[in-house]
This record gives sequence, structure tokens and C-alpha cells, in this order.
Amino acid sequence: MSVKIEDVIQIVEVQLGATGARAADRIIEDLGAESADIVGILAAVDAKYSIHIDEMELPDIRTIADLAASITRHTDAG
Amino acid sequence: MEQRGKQFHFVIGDAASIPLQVTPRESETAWRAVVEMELATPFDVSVAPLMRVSYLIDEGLGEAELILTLQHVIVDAVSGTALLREILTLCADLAGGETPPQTADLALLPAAEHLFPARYRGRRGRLRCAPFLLRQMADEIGYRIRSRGTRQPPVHAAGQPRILSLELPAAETRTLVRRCRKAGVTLNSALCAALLLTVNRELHAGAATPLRNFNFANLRPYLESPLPDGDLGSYFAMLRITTTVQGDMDCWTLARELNRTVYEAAKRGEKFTNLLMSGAVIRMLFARKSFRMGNTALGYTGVATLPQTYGATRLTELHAFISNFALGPEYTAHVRLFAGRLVWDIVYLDCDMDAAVAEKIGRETLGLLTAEEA
Repeated sequence: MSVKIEDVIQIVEVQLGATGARAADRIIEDLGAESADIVGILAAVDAKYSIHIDEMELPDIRTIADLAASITRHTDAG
Repeated sequence: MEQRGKQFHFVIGDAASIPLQVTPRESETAWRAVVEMELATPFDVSVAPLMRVSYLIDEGLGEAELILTLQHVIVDAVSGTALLREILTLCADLAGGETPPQTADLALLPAAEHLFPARYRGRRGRLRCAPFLLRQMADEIGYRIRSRGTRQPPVHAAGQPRILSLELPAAETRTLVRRCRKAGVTLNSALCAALLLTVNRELHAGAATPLRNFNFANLRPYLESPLPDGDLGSYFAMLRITTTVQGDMDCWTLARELNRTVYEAAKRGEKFTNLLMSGAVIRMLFARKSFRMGNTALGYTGVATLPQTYGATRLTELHAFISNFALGPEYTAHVRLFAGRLVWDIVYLDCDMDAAVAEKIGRETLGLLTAEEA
């Protein structure tokens, strides 16, 4: 299943109350997300795509594009 | 380090060799006594190096423990992990007959406050400290009023540090992570809430008590420019949160309250202002010689990004113990995810509790978080 990057950007923007985020933005470094924001983003992703991104995967998810790639992997595997 | 006026400065001295003690590994648990001895032996920060190493080896079994003792001023949890990865890689290369690459002398990294976002530096940064100081003073006054007669006595100089390690298997750890996400709280907030509740029940008889918990923030990603994890240094801040806890509270309600408090403090930039003020505050508190800064301290550092295989060497366990008991927490825990498991390393003073109570608190904390949902 192909995940639309615009949808993932929207999830991140809604959680962070941000606008103008881009796929290459780092969620913490560039967009200033706190740990609690990450929990909110992942909960929204889990709910929208009916997947579960494991905590152990988090070190590899730095950018919005990384998050979209992880969602794609999970939806393809599911 | 050198003290110039009220400021401490790093100094690169002559290449000091790092003390290495190699001893036979007499049992599987012999390392615990070494760690407790190391925790009880503070560094003199004016004398390099601020690191020492013990190596316990059983050549017959081919099993060993490598114990790195590091002054926190030179290494944080993130760079400590990077240092360990570098050492293990180097050892594997040497064991494999490879010549290790020649590395250049490392330059000193700037202090965290020089890398803060512009609005937290210089005069603007100091101005931002004023509301933080007022909130801290209000918290202190409120705490002293509410805890009159029930405050824990100051830390005893005679107390000896003791350690305890517990862990959650991978399946239970996954369940806990899912539960945190469903509750909308970080694993850190859930752990802190459960720890505060069990400390309240075991050490304060479950009575409504204002308890203080230290949270820790990794500053590296928030600096200008963000620092890579591999750069050795200490870039973290402490946030002290006072919460009234009662033994019959619901753990997840308390977790949500802590989560909101920590999140709001972080959004206000207190991870920066707290660090700007911490030197002055700690100097003031130490000058009083009779204080206890908190009841619990819990540092959750996320996933330890360490490979488990280095040539013929396999890394099977990873522990980290913090000796911040001098600041007064009755119960200090350092928590991380390693190989899918939640590893929970605890330090306490034997004058505050015995081993049975410490273990009971640790097990009940994990039990609260993994109990079947009603």
C-alpha cells in the first residue's frame, strides 16, 4: 500500500500545531517535537493505518519521510 | 576541570592513561559489588581522567563484564552508549588482527548553553529565567508548607549506595508501550507515575504526600546546531516536578498528569532555563548541607542503539547506574530499552531502605504498569 506523504505531513502538523512542514524535516530537530508529541503522532498513525510502530523502531525514524516509509513497511507487511 | 571564579572549565591535560583494573570474575553477580564500590567513590574533577575501567573476566567460560565509570560532566547517556559501541568495535577489530585507525585528538565541545537557541542565550536567556525562578520559588514554598512534618530527613553521609536491576521481557515491554500510547503518555511518564505511587505506598504509608521527581531531557536535538549522538559530552537537563501523591490513586491518571506537567514545562523552554539556573541552585543547596532535592529520579533514555555482536563478542546485557543520590532522591532509576526488553537499573542508599524494600518497590512499580486492565 502506498502511503501519501501529504497525509503523514498532516498528522505531524496537527500534532505539533505547525504549518509548512516538509517530508525531509526532522521531527524533533527541525520541528521541535517533544517526547509527548511523538507519542501523539504515533498514536494517530496507529489509528489511521491500523498498524503499530514499535518503540524499537524509533531511532530509525528521524524525518517525516522516514515515518512514511515505516508506515508503508507496516501496511505492506500487514 | 579548572575552577576560575565561580565557573568550571574543561582543560585538555597531558594524555592521562585511563585506570584499568582487570580481576577474575568469581561469580555471575560479582560485578554488582564492583559497581557499588565505584558509585561510592566520587571523582575529584580537578584530576584527569574523569573515567576509570574495571574488567571482570572468566576465561574458562569466556564471559566478562566491562564496567566504565564516568563522571557525568563528560558523558551523558547518549554519548555513553556511543563510547561503549566504539570501545567494543575497537576490541573486536584488535581481536580480529586489524590495526585500529589512528584518530585525531578530539576538540572540546562547547558548553550546552552556548548552543541554546538564540532566545535562550545571553540577556534574553537570563530574562526568561525570571518566570522560571518565580515558579520554582512558589513550588518550594508550597512544598515546604504541604510537607511540614512529613519531609524525609536530609541525606545521611554514612549511607552506602546499593544497586538493583529488574527487567521486563520483550513481550511485556511491547504491551506496556502499546498501553502508554493508548493512554497518550510517554513511557517516561508512566514509569515515573508508577514509581511515585509505589514509593508513596512503601515509604510514606500511602498518605497524601507532596513528592518530588526528577525528569531528564536530552538537549542534543534541540541545540543550534543539533549535536550528533557520537560526540562525547554532557547535554542534558533536569526538570524537577512536585506532585501530591496518595497511595490509592490510579496510576494512569497520575501518568497523564505528569505527562501534561512535563510537556508544558518543556514547551515553556524549561529544559534550557533550568540548565541556565542549575549551577546557582545546586551551589545554594549544597551550601545548606541539609537538603533532599527529591524523592525519586527516573531517567528513561529510550532505545539503546547498540549492536549486540562485535566480531566474536556478544553483548548480552547493558546496565547504567547513576550516582545522583547525593542530591537526595530516595530512589533513582535509569531505564532503557535493550534488545526489546525494558531494563530498569536502580540505585538507593542503604540508610533509606533495605534490599527487600528496594526490590519490592521496583517489582511493584513494574507490576502496576503491567497489571491486567480492569
